[in-house]
This record gives sequence, structure tokens and C-alpha cells, in this order.
Amino acid sequence: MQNIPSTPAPKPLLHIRALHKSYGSNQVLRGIDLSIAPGEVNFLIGPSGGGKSTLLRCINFLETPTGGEIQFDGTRLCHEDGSRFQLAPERTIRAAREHMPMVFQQFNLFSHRTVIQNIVEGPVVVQRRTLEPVMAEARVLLDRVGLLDKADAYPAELSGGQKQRIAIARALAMKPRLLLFDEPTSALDPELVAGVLDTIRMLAEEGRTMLIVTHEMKFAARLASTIHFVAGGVLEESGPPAQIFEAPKSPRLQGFIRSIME
Amino acid sequence: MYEYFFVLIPRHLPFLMEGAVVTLELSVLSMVFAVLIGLLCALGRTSGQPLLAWAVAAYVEVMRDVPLLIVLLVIFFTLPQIGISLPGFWAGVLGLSLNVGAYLSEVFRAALGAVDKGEKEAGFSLGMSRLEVFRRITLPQAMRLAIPTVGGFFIALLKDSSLVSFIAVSDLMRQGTILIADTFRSMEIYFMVAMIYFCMSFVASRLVRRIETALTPRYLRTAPVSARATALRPDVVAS
Repeated sequence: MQNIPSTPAPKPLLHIRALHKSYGSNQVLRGIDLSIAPGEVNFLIGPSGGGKSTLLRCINFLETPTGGEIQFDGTRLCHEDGSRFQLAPERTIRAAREHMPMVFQQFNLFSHRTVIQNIVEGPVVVQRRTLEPVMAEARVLLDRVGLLDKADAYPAELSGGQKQRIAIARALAMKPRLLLFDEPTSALDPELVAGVLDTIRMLAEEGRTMLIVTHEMKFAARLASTIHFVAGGVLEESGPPAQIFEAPKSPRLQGFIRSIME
Repeated sequence: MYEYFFVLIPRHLPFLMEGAVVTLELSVLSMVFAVLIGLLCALGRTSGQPLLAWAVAAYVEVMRDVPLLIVLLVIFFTLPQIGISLPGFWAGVLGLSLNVGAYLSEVFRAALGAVDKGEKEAGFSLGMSRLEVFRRITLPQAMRLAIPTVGGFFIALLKDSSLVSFIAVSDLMRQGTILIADTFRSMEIYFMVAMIYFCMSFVASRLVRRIETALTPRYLRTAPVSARATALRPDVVAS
């Protein structure tokens, strides 16, 4: 440990404290603490069924947490008041969601709309912006993910990798403060993974704040500001890639690292 | 033969056509209400409110298990006894739309359920409200899935509407019955009536197919896009 004069930490964009989620008696998240500062790229890794996807889905309320606190950009989305767990009003949650769109494992593009319609849907319907400037922005985004020529194609006409890059463009069109990725490359054929990872790397280089659930360990090691290891519903260990991969402290993480190295 | 085409048809067709217009009006109006009833019931059934879901299920069950004719007779002859008196035409519209609406609610329930859950989640994750997700994502896709079946029900309705002749509505069937009572030429008149029903149903089924094609985006049309492209452009094959 070096002695660096402490600078005040930047205010976190996302702040989670003691987050719980259970389905009946089945506890999936057992008290998660997590903070993400603006500009950071955070990864969630861990064994399947350990709760990392549930954590991500709780953050933008596709799953409703059952306890704990989530603060996004200074707004409390849920908290505990004494012993009572309280959710913010639906409008507050919706307003937050639009600033942290999610990119899904299964892409989830709107199959009845063309590529460009998929991208402008959020800005036009949710943010009530006028169509022309949004269309122009959508074309810029499409160009950046390298798919401008697919603007009028339907999702069914695209490969998995192309779909996922469109899904990323759709999320970017919201001008998000935080991007959530739920195993963005897990449903892709191996030869299509690189294109999607390149797109995510490009976003990291722009300094976008991201929270990514992934099994791509090398990718996480290269890009992460912080990696969080989630297993058994708890955040076992957090740290920079060097610590997580080369000097893991928690025995569970040590076991996990060993198992993926084989 | 000569008498049929040059005497009977010109003499009786106008009277039958008046009935055909009533049949069409009755069917179209009933269909509009049936679609509304069917959609609302499908939503009620999937709303997660047990009482509402139960009420809808009971309504659907009753309408499917009781003959349409009895429903029409009850509406026209029995409801007046408790102070609800409807003219025959509107009693017919009510009975038919309640009947078809019950069937359509099942069609819509299946269609709404067939829309990919992930796409709805994507809508929510962009900050859409439940209504926006329904209006922008679920409904358009469900409607496209339901159109062929709904069209089939409309064609069935055109013909089932002949039952309203029992409650004094001057539809095509009743006009035919009146003519037969008048002329005793049942075979000739029934044949004319049948031909008119046939023509209406035939046109309706073509229309349904048109609508279906118009609503189906190109990626779902039968021939794959690439195959159609090569069919249209033989030069692509050559290269």
C-alpha cells in the first residue's frame, strides 16, 4: 500500500447498500453494497446462479428488490425506513431507468420495428423528442457501431453480433448516464463476440460509465476499473483486476479463479 | 332456367339485397364490439386480479357453452321483462358481439401471451410505462398474430348472423323466409340467399388475406427475403 494523499472521492453515480432480493424463502441477494463513480467501468463476475444478473436487474427494477437501498444520481429509488422497505413512486423509478438502459443477453430488439425504428423508439416515446433530430442522431450511432447500411433491416435479418450492436446503439440513443450489460456476448457464436466487445471497448475509451455482467474474463481484466465477484448472493470481493485475478483474498474467489483457469 | 334468371332474380333480388345490407351492418358492428370486448376480457384475464379474471372466465365459459340462438332469444324476449327492451337490430348486435367477443378473448389472450417477454423488458428498461409498452410493443405484435383468426371469426359471423332472423330483424335470411312464405318457391329463393351469403363471405375472406399481407412485415412473409430477391433479380444468381 502506498501513501497517496487522499483526494475526495467523486460522488457515486450509483450507490447500493444492503440490497436484498428474495423469491419467497429463496434469498438470491443477501445484502449487496456497491458504488459506481462516474466514468468507471465495473464488471460483475461469478458463478452461474450466484446473483449477478439478479443484481443488475434489480438496479433498473426489472426485478423489484425486497430490501436495502439504491441511489441513482442522487435520487433514492428504494430505501428502508426503520424496518419498512419503501420503493420510490413508479414515476421516479421510470425516470431513472431511462438514464440506465440495459443491453440484454438475448438482445431483445423490437422485432416488429426496423433497426432505425428500434433506436429512435426510446427518445421519441419516452423522452418525447421530435423525430428528425433523433433520426439524425440514430444514424450517427449506427455509423459508429458500423451498421449504417442496416438502418432499414428488421432484427430477424441480422446476425446475433449485429443485433447486439444495434441493442447497444438503442441504449446509447437514450443519452444514458449508466449502461447496464447483462452477459452481452453469452448468446453469440464465438466468431461474433469480438465485434461486440470492440464496441464496448470503444465506449469505455469514451469514458462512459458501465456495469457489465460477463463471463469474458480476459475482457474484464483489460477494461475494468473495478471487478466485483458475486457468489451465493453476496459480494465476496471487489477490487482492481490485478487483485481479483492475481491476488484474490476470498477463498471462494480463489476457487473460482482456479476453476476458470483450467 | 329462363324464368329463374330473367323473372325471379330481377323480381326478388332487390328485396333480398335490402336484407343483405342489414346483415352486413349487423356483422360489421358486432365485429367491432366483439374485438373491443375480446381485448378487454383478454386484459382482464391476464390482469392478475383474481376476481376480474374469474368473472371473465365465467363469461367466456357461459358464452361458449350456450347456443347463440338462446342468447339472442333471451336478450330479445326475456330482458324486456326486467325492463331492458332493445330493438331487434341492437339485440342482435349485443348477442352476436357477446358471443364472438368471448371467443376472441381467448384468441387475444393467446396472441398477447405470444409476444416475447424480453422485448417488453427492453421497453421497460428504456423507461416506458406499462401503457407505452402495451401500446408500442405488445399490442402491435399481438394484433398481427391474431388477424387471421379474427378474420375467420368475421366470416363465421357473417353467416351466424342469420340467426337474428328469429328475433324479427330484417336481415338477409329473414327477407328470404318472407319471400318463401309469399311465393312458396323455396328452392329458388334459398339458392339466391345462399349465393348472396357466398359472395359476401368470399369477398370478406379475400379482404382478410389482403389485410394480413399488408400487416406482415417482409421478414415474416412466406418466401425468405433472399429467395425473393433472387427470384426478382436473376442476375444475382449469375454472379
